[in-house]
Amino acid sequence: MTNQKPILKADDLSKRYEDGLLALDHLNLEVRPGEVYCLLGANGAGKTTTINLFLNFIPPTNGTCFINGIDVTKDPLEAKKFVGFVSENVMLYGNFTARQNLDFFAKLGGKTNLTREAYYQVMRRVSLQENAFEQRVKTFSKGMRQKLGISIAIIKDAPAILLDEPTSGLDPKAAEEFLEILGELKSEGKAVFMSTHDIFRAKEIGDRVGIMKEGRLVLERTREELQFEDLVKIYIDYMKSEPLTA
Amino acid sequence: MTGTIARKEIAANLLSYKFFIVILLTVLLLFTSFFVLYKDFKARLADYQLIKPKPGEPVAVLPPNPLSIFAKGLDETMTRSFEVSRIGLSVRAGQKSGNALFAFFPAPDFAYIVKVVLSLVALLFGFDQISRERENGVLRLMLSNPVSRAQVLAGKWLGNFLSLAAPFTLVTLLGFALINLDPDVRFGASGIGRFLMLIVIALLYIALFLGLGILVSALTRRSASTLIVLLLVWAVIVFVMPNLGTLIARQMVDVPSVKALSEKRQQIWTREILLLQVESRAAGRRATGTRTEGDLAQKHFDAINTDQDRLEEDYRKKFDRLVRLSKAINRLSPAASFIYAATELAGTGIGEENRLKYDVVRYKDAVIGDLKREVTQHAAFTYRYRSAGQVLAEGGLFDVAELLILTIFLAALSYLAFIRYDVR
Amino acid sequence: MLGTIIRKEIQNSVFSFRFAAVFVLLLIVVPVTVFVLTNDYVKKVDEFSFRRGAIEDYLKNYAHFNRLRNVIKPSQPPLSMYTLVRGISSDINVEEFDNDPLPVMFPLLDLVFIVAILLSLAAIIFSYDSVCGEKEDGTLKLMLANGLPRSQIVLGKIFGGTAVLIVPFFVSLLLGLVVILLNPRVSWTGANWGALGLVLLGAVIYVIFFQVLGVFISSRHQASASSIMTSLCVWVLLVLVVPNLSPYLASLLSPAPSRIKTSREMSRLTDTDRDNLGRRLQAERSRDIVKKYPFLAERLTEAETKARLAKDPAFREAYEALRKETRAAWDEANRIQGDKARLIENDRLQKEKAQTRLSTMLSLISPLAVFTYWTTDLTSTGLRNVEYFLDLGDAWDRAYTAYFRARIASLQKQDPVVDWWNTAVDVSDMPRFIYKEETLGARAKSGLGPLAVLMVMCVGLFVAAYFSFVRYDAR
Repeated sequence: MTNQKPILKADDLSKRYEDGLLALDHLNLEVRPGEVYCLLGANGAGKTTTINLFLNFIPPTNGTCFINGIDVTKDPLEAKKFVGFVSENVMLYGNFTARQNLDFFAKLGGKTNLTREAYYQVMRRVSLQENAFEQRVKTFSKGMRQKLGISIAIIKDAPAILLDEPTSGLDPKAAEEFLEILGELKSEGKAVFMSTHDIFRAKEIGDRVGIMKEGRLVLERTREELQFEDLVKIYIDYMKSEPLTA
Repeated sequence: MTGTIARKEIAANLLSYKFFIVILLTVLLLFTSFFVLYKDFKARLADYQLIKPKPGEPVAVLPPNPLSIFAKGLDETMTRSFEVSRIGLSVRAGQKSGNALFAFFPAPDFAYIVKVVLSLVALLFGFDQISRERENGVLRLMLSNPVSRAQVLAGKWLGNFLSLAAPFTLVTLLGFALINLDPDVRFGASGIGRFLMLIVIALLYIALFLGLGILVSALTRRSASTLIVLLLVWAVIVFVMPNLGTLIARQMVDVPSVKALSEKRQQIWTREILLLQVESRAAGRRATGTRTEGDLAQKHFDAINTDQDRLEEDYRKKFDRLVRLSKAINRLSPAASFIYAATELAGTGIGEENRLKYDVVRYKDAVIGDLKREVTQHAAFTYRYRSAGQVLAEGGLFDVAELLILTIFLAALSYLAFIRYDVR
Repeated sequence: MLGTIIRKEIQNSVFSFRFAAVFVLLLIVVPVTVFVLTNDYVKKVDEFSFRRGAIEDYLKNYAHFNRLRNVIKPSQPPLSMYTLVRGISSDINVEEFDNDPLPVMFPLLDLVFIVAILLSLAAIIFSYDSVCGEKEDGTLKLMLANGLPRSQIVLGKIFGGTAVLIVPFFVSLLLGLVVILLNPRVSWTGANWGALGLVLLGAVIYVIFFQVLGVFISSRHQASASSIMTSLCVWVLLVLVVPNLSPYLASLLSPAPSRIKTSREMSRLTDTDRDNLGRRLQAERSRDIVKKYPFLAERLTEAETKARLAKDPAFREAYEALRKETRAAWDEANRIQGDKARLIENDRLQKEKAQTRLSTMLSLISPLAVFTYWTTDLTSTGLRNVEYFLDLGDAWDRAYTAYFRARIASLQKQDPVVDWWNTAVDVSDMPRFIYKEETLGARAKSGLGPLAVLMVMCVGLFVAAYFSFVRYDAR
């Protein structure tokens, strides 16, 4: 599992915005198939920027992002075939039903011939209630929307999945259900990359955990290493310490 | 991909409150406009039957133009009854409406509804296409898939345009068909052709504003600011520019007012008749004013016509310059271009009226020639409206091209803007 | 408390993008329009005096009573308030061959137009999210949680919003007024300033209406996105559709016979029908006379009749009686037909008045129509001035008729042979048509009705907005 080529790879990635802010400072990370990588950090640490760079929403100042070996800035359309995305707090199309939303994004992702039953199956898999399948999304709670969001990523059946703060705002039960699904995806061999500031869940689900501070990856630990170290303590220590740049 | 996105846009529109209320408004307004202007046409047609000249009468009058139901333009002034006598042309009295309120506000014809309401509707469809989807995160979700920004933009454009164009075209064609059922309203093949062209131009105009909305949406981050800018730009394009342009043109071209012109005409003919009577009396003959016969009388009638013709020619030259200048300035606004194109195609525009007046003056010359040779039965006045081809050649094509080029330009700009749009 | 809310509203708006956008727009459009209108007015003044000069030249040499009225017609001089408002004063001249097509296709841009369209749109832009926007931002909850009474919030929004809008408008208008004042050719009287003041009062009420409307609609929606749609639709209907539709609807609901139709009927009545009737009556009466004077039945030539008239007094008496009866018959025919024609004319006038009234009432639903009537009446550019001008014209016509009758009589006394109708005469003492603007009070009075309607609508809308907001779900 861990000896395969990484599906997600950030190679010396840097991003400086027009106003001078250095959002990412020489980031190097890899996510392999069957692996869950949790990126921790405070607000503004660079987690979302990383995801934005992977999805080619913004160009890097330096370095490259690779999805399945493809440079996302050189061939974005090809690269995006191999990654699913679960955004934080997406409203989706409120007037469409869950299935209609799923249908649209499935088609965008390249899956054009799926049956209604196939959609239902995916939604069942993420534990979305049956009666919500044909309900308008604007009536959904945040948890239901997140589930739908991940079902959209799942139905694409891409080898990698990017998640941006997926459990923020979810109640504990919903968050647990969500993590269960991630675990299933991991065992199916998907490479899962998740940005979060939920230390506890990160400890639970992460095969590898990275801590970002002011654009730099200051710490990376595997699950085994974390059995002996207290992640919570490390994290808070880093947060409390002096800023890295003047 | 584009097709999928377009289909999604249409489906989303059909389910949205915005679409519902806006299409409801449009449909209601269009049908009301058709009905009201149709009735107005029928009333004017009934009046025309009363003042139709009998064979041999030297009267030039056009029946109301059925296409004026859709673009009323100058049809009321073009269908006045012009009577020819030895001393020139006069307009038969009593053709103004008794209800003075008509003068206050422009006629709510199809062209007006398109120019004012449909442009706003198209803007309202376009303005939040990009910013709204960015705000609720769907744009990011879309772009995380193998679909290019060009495809997203094209899909949005296509889907929204079809959402607008389909109900609009259907309602318009239905209205036209219903009106056509009335045997008194004869459009003819040429009329139907022009009407279809009118619909195409209207669709082009709608596409332009949709494109403008999408462009501004691709340039701003918040839907709310987009809307403010668009509403104000719309108000300026539709209301301020066309009307200000004409006012400015008047400052730059010296044209005598029409009142001055009519006063001069009256002075000319009354002066000549007086001189005729004075000279006749001096020669010991009776002069019965405008009914006088003889060479002396003819000399004065000729003087009247020559002077008035010179007056008319001089005025026309200046007026043509004014019209050309005001057109040039007005055409900065696509709304003005649309009105020019629509009224000229319908045969109720300034160009057509000009041509009619020219023909009426020629008819007057022919009748006066008849009177000189003591012919009392005059040929009927005939006028052929310009063909659609002529309309296009005499400026219509410019207006259509302007709309088309602006639309394409706006689409290109939106593409460039969207490519650089920050979707985060 | 109310003061704080108003101040908050103002501060919130002043630093917003929309305020800047509206301010910039008004600052450009208003002074430019006033500048162009002022130049146009000066040109009109010059042309008017040029026309007067041409007429005076004509009168010196060619004035003859037979056709003098073709040349001397009451004519509206340009008024100094044309620098701001034009209304329907632009002369389309549709009764003459030389009509002006441009104002029909592209109505003149003036202050009424700017206020009516731009300011009302701006008011909607400022108020469409006054309630639902704050709810979306979460600040509404905050305000209510702090114990702010809902009534004050509504009032604060309305006054704050209006103040924010009125200031840019007044500032840009001030710039426009500077343009007018700087122009040496324009002079405004006190009445003009009074009229302007009243117009501005109307403008403020007009803006308040749309502000209240926006707040009301805002309180009926949970999302700003749907509020703006409804607001714009209502605005389009009120400002751009209802005024334009009302004359057409009125003509459908309260039809009046067309002038062409009635003039045709009337000329038939007073021409052919009268001739027929006259002949019939004449025949009747002649029969009676001949019965009385049987010798009239004899057919005599003109010469014989003349001879007999000279000799026979009885014949003369009979002949006179016949002539009298003939004239009586024709007088009666004229009277009968004239009455019928007058009936038709009066009927038409009544129906036209009814239609105009209905048209006006229908249009009063639209504040734009109300504001237009108010402003154009105050500045003598509207319907009221059209009627007033016609009245002035009639009065002058009567004076002129008295003058020329007296003049012809005195000229004929001097020289009964000359055809004074068709001879050039000196008319330097003729009463000239002089246009004097109606008093400000009279002008204002006619507009008070519609303005009151608008104010009532404002109050009604405010009540609706208040109750709607009181029950608004702020969560």
